[in-house]
Amino acid sequence: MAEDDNTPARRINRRRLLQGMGAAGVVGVTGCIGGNGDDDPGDDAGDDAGDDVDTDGDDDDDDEPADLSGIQEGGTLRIAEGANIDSFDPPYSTDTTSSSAQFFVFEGLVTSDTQGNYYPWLAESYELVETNDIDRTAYEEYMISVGADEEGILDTDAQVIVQHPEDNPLEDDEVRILTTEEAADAVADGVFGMQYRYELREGVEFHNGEELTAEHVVATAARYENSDVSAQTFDSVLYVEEEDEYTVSIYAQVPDAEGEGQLPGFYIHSLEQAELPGGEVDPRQGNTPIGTGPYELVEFEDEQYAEYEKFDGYWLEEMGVDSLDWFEGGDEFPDGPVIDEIELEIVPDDATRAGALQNDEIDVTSGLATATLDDFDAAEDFVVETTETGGYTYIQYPVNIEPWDDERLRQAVNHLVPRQQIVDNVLNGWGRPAWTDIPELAEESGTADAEALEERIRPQNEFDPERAAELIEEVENDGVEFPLEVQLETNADNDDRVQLVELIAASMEESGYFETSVETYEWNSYIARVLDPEYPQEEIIPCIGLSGTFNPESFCDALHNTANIGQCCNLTGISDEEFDEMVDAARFDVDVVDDQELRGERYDEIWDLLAERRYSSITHFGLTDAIMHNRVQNFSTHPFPESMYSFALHAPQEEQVIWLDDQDDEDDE
Amino acid sequence: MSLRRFILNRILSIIPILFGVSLITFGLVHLTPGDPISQMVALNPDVGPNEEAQLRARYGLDGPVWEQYLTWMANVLTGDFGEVISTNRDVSGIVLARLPATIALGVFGWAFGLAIAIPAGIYAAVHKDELGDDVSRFLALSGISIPNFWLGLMLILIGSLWLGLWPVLAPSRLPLYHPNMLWYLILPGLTIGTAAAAGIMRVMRTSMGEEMNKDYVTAARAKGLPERQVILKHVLRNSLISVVTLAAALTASIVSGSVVVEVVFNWPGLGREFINAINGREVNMIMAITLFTGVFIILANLLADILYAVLDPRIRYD
Repeated sequence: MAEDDNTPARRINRRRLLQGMGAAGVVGVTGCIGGNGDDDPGDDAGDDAGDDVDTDGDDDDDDEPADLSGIQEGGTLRIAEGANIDSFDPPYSTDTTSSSAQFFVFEGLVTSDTQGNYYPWLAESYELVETNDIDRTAYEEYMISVGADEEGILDTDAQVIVQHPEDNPLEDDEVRILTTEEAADAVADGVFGMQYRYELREGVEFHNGEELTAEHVVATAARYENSDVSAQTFDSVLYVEEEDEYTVSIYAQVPDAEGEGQLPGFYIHSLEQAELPGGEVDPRQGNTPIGTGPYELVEFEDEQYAEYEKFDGYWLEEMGVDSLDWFEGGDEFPDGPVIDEIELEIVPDDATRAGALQNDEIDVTSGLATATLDDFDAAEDFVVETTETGGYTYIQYPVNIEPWDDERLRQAVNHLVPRQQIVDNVLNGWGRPAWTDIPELAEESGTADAEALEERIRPQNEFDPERAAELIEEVENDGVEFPLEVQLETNADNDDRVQLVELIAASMEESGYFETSVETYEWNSYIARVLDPEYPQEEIIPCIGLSGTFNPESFCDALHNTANIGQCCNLTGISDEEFDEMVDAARFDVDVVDDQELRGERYDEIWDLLAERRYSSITHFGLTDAIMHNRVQNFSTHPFPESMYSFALHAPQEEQVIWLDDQDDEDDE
Repeated sequence: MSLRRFILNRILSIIPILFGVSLITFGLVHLTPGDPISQMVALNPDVGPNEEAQLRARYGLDGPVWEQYLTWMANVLTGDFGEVISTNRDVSGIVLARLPATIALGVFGWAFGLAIAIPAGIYAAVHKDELGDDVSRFLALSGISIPNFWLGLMLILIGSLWLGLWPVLAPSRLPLYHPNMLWYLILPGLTIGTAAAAGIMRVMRTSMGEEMNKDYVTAARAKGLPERQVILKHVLRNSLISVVTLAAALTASIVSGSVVVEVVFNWPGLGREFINAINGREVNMIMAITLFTGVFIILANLLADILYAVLDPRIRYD
């Protein structure tokens, strides 16, 4: 999904559907209202190339456990966000800021660390009970037929869980579908892809005093039906079933290697709010959000601020971190966040946020321009923490237009993409060149051997004009006339991206084989343009940004799968049946569910295929950044901006906790 | 024509003007690519054209533009300005919540502009072609030339970060009517009022210069009236007629200027909402803010016409 931006975070909030671990299958396009995608913070190209950037989220040696002896309890953490909190209702919001604001309040059955490993959370334990080797046609006998109008809109109000793979709503008058009701029948007959069973913790209390039971999980799942995130929820979830008061099973449609993270991607609601209409779990609608999380929302002023206070009955503080079977930390690690209050200020303008941080009106913010990051990084009173994120930027070649259907030409242009220069000069070093197609956070399941992968693929992604010339001469010998005229384009409201495209265009021009032009468009116009069905027939190289997740698929499927032509984000009409089958086999196959190594090997084959066919060129992976006053202690960033603050405040899975070291000063005040 | 009838006629003329404004704005919004649905889901790889079409139908964005306009207009006539599609927030509620902040900023900026411009204009006219006149003209030109966002950031840099006299962020916990807000309003008010002040000052100077060469001024001086009395009692009143006209016209630029200023100073007014609405293609919000702004500008011009007659009894309400 689109980053917004927001921005936004200039992740498109608008424009931005990354739902963190809860929607680990989602990719987001980084567009950016007002500016930069999170993948590439900043506006200014700098001359100071290549400062080493700490991308481990911690200035200290990661192998050294943090010194928690200095922890101070209490205080107020003042955060500035760059966009409004559009909604406090998890299934009815998709932007980064809203998710960030919700994660103080809501929790899921499982949690994850920054490497994508999952841990039981509201569930005391969970297990993969059964896996069946089926595909979606197995549900045929349970399906019902519904009408479809000429626009492909189905005549049903129910949540479509599975649509028959052979039916096409745009062409057929009737379409076979499976809804929740029929899914229950299928599950009862043992027809399902996977079953995960979750044993819930007893004694977990919601902010309104309700105790967590299986009923809450089922009611929450029902609330996700036909919501704003139903598409990414029910592309995997088949059915949620209450087995007893504290046991719930979640079934997957087909075997899914991402099931562990994808299936429990619900933020659990109280029964009091589970049946509210969509979008109404929101103080603007008179409903303060109720969750099980460590903080309660106590005050909210639209477009201005949100205030949270610690929840006195937080289950983890009641039970203690030692109640987490997997916790291996020391005795000094606290049972919950130590900061009492959170003030979240809405400050859309980057410069104003930077000024407020400098003026000690806030403690921490993110998403500032790269030149500003450099300034804060150099300042004594401030700390900049970064970690590599799933955000990436790519260009895509017009593969349906001659001579761009020749992979040698695409490989040649790929050798003219100055990845290191882009990171050094455009991003001021705040990023990492994409020597392979996956970032660190997806390496665990995305390759069998990350080092070997880079050794194999990187030479094909290095800036190498000589090799490019050799390849182009081969193409020329086959009768193609050079120089070739080609247009590159991107969205105008992201300065970094514009400069990046200009740099690639200049590099292509310099080779002497291309005559390039660069066009930029306002974000909405650009979206409409690149998603136009006729776009793949244009001799244009578009550039756009996406947000990937722990799921390796998010770094290749959206870009190249035939199913994504005309939607995010196969912009140039790439259709490669072999790739489609390979990417399916690397996730939706019974053999890879329990065999990470096999899964990694299958992805390695995919990366090799993409390097050879070179439909797209990923230029760089971005960083999640947090800029803070140095009173904020022990802050580690999370790869996904929406999880950054909730993770930093308290995350036993990585013994992460932050505190403010000037409580005495505050008290004096 | 009586003043009452004149006002009534002008108020009635608002209706066709607003209708035209709404028609043009609605058309322009729909001519630009994208809508809230494309913003929300079009770039989600899990959402295909079918789901997108369903969402568009759900929010009534699938019909022809004229049909959407008529639906919107029918709702507005019943006082329903609709919802912000991406967040389900009530547009009327947002506009009413934000309007006071924008009006406060606009009025403050406007008053600030007049407070600077009129004395400066008088001084420049009285001391024509002297150093003070040159300085004031240079400042006026600067005021017109400097972009609001740059001036705002400079004022934050100097007033907040260097001098520490103002907070960078608007005191969001204070109600608008709190006395401390007056102090905070100085920087954004100065930013928004500078360009207006520059324009008014130049007109004031020219107008005063013309008036001071007229016979009645010569006569007043010949009678032995003190120069101060001649300027403030006779010349100023007649000079203000053109200033009032310009001040009313500047209302529009103050309103539009507040958009940028609100973002820079984190001021929770309609300007910020307007930017968000445009970025998100939220047609209901764009329409509502446009109409409210239109009404505001029309009323400002009406006020100017009334003041015109107060200042110059020779002017008739025709």
